[in-house]
Amino acid sequence: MPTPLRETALAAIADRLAAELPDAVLERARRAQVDTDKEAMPRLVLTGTDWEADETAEPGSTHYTLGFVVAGYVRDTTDLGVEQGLSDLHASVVTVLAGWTPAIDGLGEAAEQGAEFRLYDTYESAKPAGEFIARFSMLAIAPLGAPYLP
Amino acid sequence: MSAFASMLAAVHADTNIGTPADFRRPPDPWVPARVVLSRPTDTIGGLGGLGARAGSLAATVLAGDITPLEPQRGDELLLDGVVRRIEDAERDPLGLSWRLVLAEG
Repeated sequence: MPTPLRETALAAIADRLAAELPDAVLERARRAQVDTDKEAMPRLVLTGTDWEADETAEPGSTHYTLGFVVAGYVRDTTDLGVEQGLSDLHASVVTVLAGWTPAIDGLGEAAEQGAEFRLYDTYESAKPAGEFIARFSMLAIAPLGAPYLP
Repeated sequence: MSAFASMLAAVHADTNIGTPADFRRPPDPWVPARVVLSRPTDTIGGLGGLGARAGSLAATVLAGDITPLEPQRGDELLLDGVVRRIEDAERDPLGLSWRLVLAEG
Protein backbone atom coordinates (compact mmCIF):
# COMPACT_ATOMS: atom_id res chain seq x y z
CA MET A 1 0.00 0.00 0.00
CA PRO A 2 1.49 3.36 -0.96
CA THR A 3 2.44 5.78 1.78
CA PRO A 4 0.45 9.01 1.93
CA LEU A 5 2.55 12.05 1.14
CA ARG A 6 1.51 13.69 4.41
CA GLU A 7 2.84 10.79 6.45
CA THR A 8 6.00 10.65 4.37
CA ALA A 9 6.63 14.32 5.09
CA LEU A 10 5.94 14.07 8.82
CA ALA A 11 8.14 11.01 9.17
CA ALA A 12 10.96 12.77 7.35
CA ILE A 13 10.60 15.81 9.59
CA ALA A 14 10.67 13.63 12.70
CA ASP A 15 13.77 11.81 11.45
CA ARG A 16 15.45 15.13 10.81
CA LEU A 17 14.65 16.49 14.28
CA ALA A 18 15.75 13.27 15.99
CA ALA A 19 19.02 13.17 14.10
CA GLU A 20 19.94 16.83 14.52
CA LEU A 21 18.68 17.40 18.08
CA PRO A 22 19.61 14.21 19.94
CA ASP A 23 19.51 15.90 23.37
CA ALA A 24 15.77 16.53 23.09
CA VAL A 25 13.13 13.85 23.48
CA LEU A 26 11.03 13.74 20.32
CA GLU A 27 7.47 12.48 20.08
CA ARG A 28 4.95 12.37 17.29
CA ALA A 29 1.17 12.38 17.38
CA ARG A 30 1.00 12.73 21.15
CA ARG A 31 -2.46 13.45 22.56
CA ALA A 32 -1.73 13.55 26.30
CA GLN A 33 -0.60 16.69 28.05
CA VAL A 34 3.08 16.95 28.86
CA ASP A 35 3.87 16.62 32.55
CA THR A 36 6.62 19.19 32.92
CA ASP A 37 7.34 18.10 36.50
CA LYS A 38 8.05 14.46 35.79
CA GLU A 39 8.90 13.92 32.14
CA ALA A 40 12.35 14.21 30.65
CA MET A 41 13.13 17.64 29.24
CA PRO A 42 13.77 19.24 26.84
CA ARG A 43 10.97 17.66 24.84
CA LEU A 44 9.65 18.22 21.33
CA VAL A 45 6.28 17.12 20.03
CA LEU A 46 5.71 17.13 16.27
CA THR A 47 2.15 17.29 15.00
CA GLY A 48 0.77 17.74 11.51
CA THR A 49 -1.90 20.39 11.09
CA ASP A 50 -3.42 21.84 7.92
CA TRP A 51 -3.33 20.35 4.43
CA GLU A 52 -4.12 22.81 1.68
CA ALA A 53 -4.46 21.84 -1.96
CA ASP A 54 -3.91 23.88 -5.11
CA GLU A 55 -4.89 22.17 -8.36
CA THR A 56 -4.23 25.23 -10.48
CA ALA A 57 -0.48 25.48 -10.08
CA GLU A 58 0.50 22.76 -12.54
CA PRO A 59 -1.56 20.70 -15.00
CA GLY A 60 -2.00 17.12 -13.80
CA SER A 61 -0.55 17.80 -10.37
CA THR A 62 -1.72 19.11 -7.04
CA HIS A 63 0.52 21.37 -5.02
CA TYR A 64 -0.10 20.83 -1.35
CA THR A 65 0.96 22.92 1.59
CA LEU A 66 1.46 20.81 4.68
CA GLY A 67 1.25 22.65 7.99
CA PHE A 68 2.96 21.26 11.05
CA VAL A 69 3.84 22.47 14.50
CA VAL A 70 6.72 21.62 16.77
CA ALA A 71 5.95 22.19 20.44
CA GLY A 72 8.94 22.51 22.72
CA TYR A 73 8.97 22.05 26.49
CA VAL A 74 11.73 23.14 28.84
CA ARG A 75 12.33 22.92 32.59
CA ASP A 76 15.15 24.59 34.49
CA THR A 77 16.15 25.63 37.98
CA THR A 78 15.52 29.33 37.36
CA ASP A 79 12.95 31.42 35.54
CA LEU A 80 15.63 32.99 33.38
CA GLY A 81 17.01 29.56 32.62
CA VAL A 82 13.65 28.53 31.19
CA GLU A 83 13.42 31.64 29.06
CA GLN A 84 16.91 31.05 27.72
CA GLY A 85 16.25 27.34 27.28
CA LEU A 86 13.13 28.04 25.25
CA SER A 87 15.02 30.48 23.07
CA ASP A 88 17.82 27.97 22.55
CA LEU A 89 15.53 25.06 21.75
CA HIS A 90 13.35 27.12 19.43
CA ALA A 91 16.36 28.49 17.57
CA SER A 92 17.70 24.95 17.21
CA VAL A 93 14.41 23.71 15.76
CA VAL A 94 14.25 26.57 13.28
CA THR A 95 17.85 26.03 12.28
CA VAL A 96 17.20 22.35 11.64
CA LEU A 97 13.96 22.77 9.70
CA ALA A 98 13.68 26.18 8.05
CA GLY A 99 15.00 26.02 4.52
CA TRP A 100 15.57 22.27 4.66
CA THR A 101 14.30 20.09 1.83
CA PRO A 102 13.87 16.36 2.41
CA ALA A 103 15.65 14.16 -0.11
CA ILE A 104 12.33 12.66 -1.14
CA ASP A 105 10.64 13.18 -4.50
CA GLY A 106 7.53 15.24 -4.13
CA LEU A 107 8.53 17.08 -0.99
CA GLY A 108 9.71 20.66 -1.00
CA GLU A 109 11.30 23.09 1.38
CA ALA A 110 10.16 23.60 4.95
CA ALA A 111 9.35 27.19 5.80
CA GLU A 112 9.10 28.87 9.18
CA GLN A 113 5.75 30.53 9.86
CA GLY A 114 6.17 31.86 13.41
CA ALA A 115 6.02 30.83 17.04
CA GLU A 116 4.47 31.55 20.41
CA PHE A 117 6.24 31.27 23.73
CA ARG A 118 4.96 30.89 27.26
CA LEU A 119 6.55 30.74 30.70
CA TYR A 120 4.21 29.02 33.11
CA ASP A 121 3.38 31.27 36.04
CA THR A 122 4.03 30.24 39.61
CA TYR A 123 0.35 29.55 40.29
CA GLU A 124 0.55 26.87 37.60
CA SER A 125 4.00 25.40 38.13
CA ALA A 126 6.26 25.65 41.16
CA LYS A 127 9.17 24.51 39.02
CA PRO A 128 10.34 26.94 36.36
CA ALA A 129 9.03 25.58 33.06
CA GLY A 130 7.57 26.75 29.79
CA GLU A 131 6.75 25.90 26.22
CA PHE A 132 6.75 27.18 22.69
CA ILE A 133 4.86 26.25 19.58
CA ALA A 134 6.69 26.79 16.33
CA ARG A 135 4.64 26.68 13.14
CA PHE A 136 6.03 25.54 9.81
CA SER A 137 4.81 24.64 6.35
CA MET A 138 6.15 22.36 3.63
CA LEU A 139 5.37 22.12 -0.06
CA ALA A 140 4.38 18.71 -1.39
CA ILE A 141 3.57 17.85 -5.00
CA ALA A 142 1.64 14.80 -6.13
CA PRO A 143 -0.27 13.65 -9.21
CA LEU A 144 -3.79 15.03 -9.30
CA GLY A 145 -6.01 13.08 -6.93
CA ALA A 146 -3.25 10.80 -5.66
CA PRO A 147 -1.57 12.30 -2.56
CA TYR A 148 0.90 9.45 -2.19
CA LEU A 149 4.62 9.09 -2.39
CA PRO A 150 5.39 8.85 -6.13
CA MET B 1 -9.39 35.81 69.38
CA SER B 2 -12.18 35.40 66.85
CA ALA B 3 -13.66 32.05 65.92
CA PHE B 4 -11.87 32.23 62.57
CA ALA B 5 -8.54 33.01 64.23
CA SER B 6 -9.05 30.12 66.64
CA MET B 7 -9.88 27.77 63.81
CA LEU B 8 -6.82 28.79 61.78
CA ALA B 9 -4.57 28.45 64.81
CA ALA B 10 -5.95 24.99 65.53
CA VAL B 11 -5.50 23.85 61.92
CA HIS B 12 -1.91 25.08 61.77
CA ALA B 13 -1.10 23.55 65.17
CA ASP B 14 -2.51 20.17 64.15
CA THR B 15 0.49 17.97 63.38
CA ASN B 16 -1.50 16.08 60.75
CA ILE B 17 -2.11 19.25 58.78
CA GLY B 18 0.40 21.90 59.78
CA THR B 19 4.13 21.60 59.44
CA PRO B 20 7.01 23.60 60.92
CA ALA B 21 8.77 26.08 58.69
CA ASP B 22 10.87 29.22 58.92
CA PHE B 23 10.21 32.50 57.22
CA ARG B 24 12.56 35.35 56.46
CA ARG B 25 13.16 38.39 54.36
CA PRO B 26 16.77 38.04 53.29
CA PRO B 27 19.18 38.84 54.85
CA ASP B 28 17.17 38.96 58.11
CA PRO B 29 17.25 35.92 60.40
CA TRP B 30 14.72 33.11 60.13
CA VAL B 31 11.47 33.39 62.08
CA PRO B 32 9.80 30.11 63.10
CA ALA B 33 6.25 29.60 61.84
CA ARG B 34 3.81 26.84 61.09
CA VAL B 35 2.41 26.41 57.61
CA VAL B 36 -0.23 24.36 55.86
CA LEU B 37 1.02 23.15 52.50
CA SER B 38 -0.90 22.38 49.35
CA ARG B 39 0.46 20.84 46.15
CA PRO B 40 -2.26 20.94 43.51
CA THR B 41 -1.49 19.50 40.10
CA ASP B 42 -3.45 21.14 37.34
CA THR B 43 -3.71 21.46 33.62
CA ILE B 44 -1.90 24.44 32.20
CA GLY B 45 -3.58 26.27 29.38
CA GLY B 46 -1.31 25.71 26.45
CA LEU B 47 -0.64 27.62 23.27
CA GLY B 48 -3.17 25.76 21.19
CA GLY B 49 -1.21 22.57 21.30
CA LEU B 50 -1.27 19.73 23.77
CA GLY B 51 -1.01 21.85 26.86
CA ALA B 52 0.86 20.73 29.91
CA ARG B 53 0.41 19.56 33.46
CA ALA B 54 2.45 20.69 36.44
CA GLY B 55 2.28 21.00 40.18
CA SER B 56 2.28 24.24 42.11
CA LEU B 57 3.25 24.67 45.75
CA ALA B 58 1.51 26.98 48.19
CA ALA B 59 1.79 27.46 51.93
CA THR B 60 -0.58 29.21 54.29
CA VAL B 61 1.10 30.93 57.21
CA LEU B 62 -0.52 32.65 60.17
CA ALA B 63 -0.04 36.39 60.00
CA GLY B 64 0.62 36.47 63.71
CA ASP B 65 3.61 34.14 63.34
CA ILE B 66 5.51 36.57 61.18
CA THR B 67 4.26 39.95 62.41
CA PRO B 68 5.22 42.69 61.63
CA LEU B 69 6.38 41.37 58.26
CA GLU B 70 3.98 41.23 55.37
CA PRO B 71 5.23 38.56 52.96
CA GLN B 72 6.21 39.63 49.48
CA ARG B 73 7.99 38.29 46.42
CA GLY B 74 11.60 37.56 47.25
CA ASP B 75 11.00 36.42 50.80
CA GLU B 76 11.92 32.88 51.64
CA LEU B 77 10.45 29.88 53.40
CA LEU B 78 12.59 27.10 54.83
CA LEU B 79 10.79 23.76 54.52
CA ASP B 80 12.43 20.50 55.48
CA GLY B 81 15.82 22.07 55.10
CA VAL B 82 15.10 23.44 51.62
CA VAL B 83 14.77 27.15 50.94
CA ARG B 84 11.78 28.02 48.76
CA ARG B 85 11.42 31.38 47.10
CA ILE B 86 8.14 33.18 47.68
CA GLU B 87 6.80 34.32 44.33
CA ASP B 88 3.51 35.82 45.46
CA ALA B 89 1.61 36.40 48.69
CA GLU B 90 -2.09 36.98 49.26
CA ARG B 91 -3.60 37.98 52.59
CA ASP B 92 -6.98 36.59 53.50
CA PRO B 93 -9.82 39.11 53.81
CA LEU B 94 -9.67 39.03 57.62
CA GLY B 95 -5.94 39.55 57.73
CA LEU B 96 -5.37 36.38 59.73
CA SER B 97 -3.21 34.43 57.29
CA TRP B 98 -1.15 34.68 54.14
CA ARG B 99 -1.19 32.31 51.21
CA LEU B 100 2.34 32.05 49.86
CA VAL B 101 2.98 30.84 46.32
CA LEU B 102 6.34 29.11 46.29
CA ALA B 103 8.89 28.35 43.59
CA GLU B 104 10.96 25.19 43.43
CA GLY B 105 14.31 25.24 41.76
